[in-house]
Amino acid sequence: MIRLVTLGEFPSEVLEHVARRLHAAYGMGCEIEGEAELPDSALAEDQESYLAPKLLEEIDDDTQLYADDKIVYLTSAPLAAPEGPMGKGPLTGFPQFGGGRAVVTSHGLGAKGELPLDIGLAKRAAHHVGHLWELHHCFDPRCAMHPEWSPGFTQYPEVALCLYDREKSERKIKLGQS
Amino acid sequence: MANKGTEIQIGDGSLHVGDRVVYPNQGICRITGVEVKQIAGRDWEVVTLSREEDGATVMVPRAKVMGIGLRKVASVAAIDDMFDQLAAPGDDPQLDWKVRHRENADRMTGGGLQGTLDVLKGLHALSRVRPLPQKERELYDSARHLLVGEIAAAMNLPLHVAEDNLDYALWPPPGMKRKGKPLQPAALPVPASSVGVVRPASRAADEEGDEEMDFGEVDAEAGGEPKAVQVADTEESDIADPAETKDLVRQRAMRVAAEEEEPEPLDELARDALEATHEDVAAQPSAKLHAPPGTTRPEAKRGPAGSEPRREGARSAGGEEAHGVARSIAAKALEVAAKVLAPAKPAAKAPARPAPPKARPTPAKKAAKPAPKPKKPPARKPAMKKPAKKVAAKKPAGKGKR
Repeated sequence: MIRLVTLGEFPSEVLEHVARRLHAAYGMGCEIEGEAELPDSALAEDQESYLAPKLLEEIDDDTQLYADDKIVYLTSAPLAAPEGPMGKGPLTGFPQFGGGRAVVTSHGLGAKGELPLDIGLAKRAAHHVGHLWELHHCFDPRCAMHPEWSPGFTQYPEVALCLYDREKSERKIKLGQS
Repeated sequence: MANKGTEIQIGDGSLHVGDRVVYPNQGICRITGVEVKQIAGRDWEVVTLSREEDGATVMVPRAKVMGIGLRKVASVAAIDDMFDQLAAPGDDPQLDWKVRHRENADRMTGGGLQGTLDVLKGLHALSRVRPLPQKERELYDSARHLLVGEIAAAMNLPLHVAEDNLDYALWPPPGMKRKGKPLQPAALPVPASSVGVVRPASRAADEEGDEEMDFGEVDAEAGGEPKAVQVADTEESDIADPAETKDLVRQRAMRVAAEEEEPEPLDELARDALEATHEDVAAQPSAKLHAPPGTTRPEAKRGPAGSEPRREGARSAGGEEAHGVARSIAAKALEVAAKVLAPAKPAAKAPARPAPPKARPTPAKKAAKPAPKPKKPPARKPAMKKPAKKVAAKKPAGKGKR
């Protein structure tokens, strides 16, 4: 089951759209779980963005996480992550790779050259849920696992997985259930 | 079975208990100890490793530690150097699949950082030219998995950050720089037609969603790739993986062949004509064949399939009825022929129609010809019926024997 928890206000139709898309993409139940609050302790030094790994650790949320559950936190706040060898890049979300929780931001969606809020948020959420199932980035622009900053991500708004990723996610889901 | 402590040197002396190491094709492991195991009546000194990804225990004979390519996790400097290589423009991909397969297999077995990097970069470059076959897609994914794990372990980063950074180098976002040099932003890659496949409706119960994303269903059925590529891939992967069963290979070949040999769909009017003739004639011979033995002649003596209904109809007591049926067939055929001739259809569809192609050249001729044509479709009808006749003919014979 994929559980959606909002960290801020989102229109209900957007949440429903995201839930439907995730359900269609991964073939597992998806429900809107409720709301939680952004932990202030996760604020980055610039006091504007939230450090995503810290946010996931410190979030105060009662949602139960069972064996094959994934929790996706949706926020509109900008996120930040530790800097890697290539420096800072765009960050649309942060999953615990192979873990159970991910945070996805709608920051930047709806702007010029970006996808609309509902479609973009659904695609970003599907992408990061894929990382929770240990899917890596895919070179195909039509796959939801294509890097989210690449032009292909916005070019193909459909939330769909390539055959390889679909099969891999199904295997992982089955293993999670067992 | 004794753990000999952390001071023990393993391999060439560079590895110690507690070290994080890279096991070729397995990923990051931690050396947990050296134990003596009794296997097949002999005592073996084995190095036990715990795979970090899932906690699985791996045991390697101590004498073979260096032989299998076990090595320490790369240093930060080596990772930095690796990113330089990743960000640099790549060479053209190796297009000879045999060479590529051999090289990639050697690199992955070796387990070195450079080898894994070369595999990833080579396949990434190839993926920009054409979709990767399944086996290479798997190889690409496992190379990526190993590199991401090693970057994360070496630089103490979360796995997701490591993966993002890897792709900042492979698909630079706008404004990305490497050591002060701006990288060329990634262009839109060529989509593989195998992608965009949505989950089958059985798994995704959301019908609305399926309708909106049905673009991929066709792709999924077709295997996704252009046929030529698909066939080439099949050949490649067949040879690349000798362990694959013959059945699978045969199934794939049949699938490709079936797709290639799929007949053109019948023209709507031609289908109508076929159905019309098919149904009417179906009643006649089957009624004969279900009659008691002796009233029908053996099939071999009946002569041409097309001639029989008329002759039988003329001789039988219900000859007039048969004539009526024949007339109705002729009338239907006339209607169909009129339909066929009325609109000017493209010449490509001509073979599928029952009417002979001679009647087509001009609309004026078409209008004049409907009278002679109707005889032809009825003559063909029994030919279409032939299999049905044979099946029906066998039944009474079988019953008689019993």
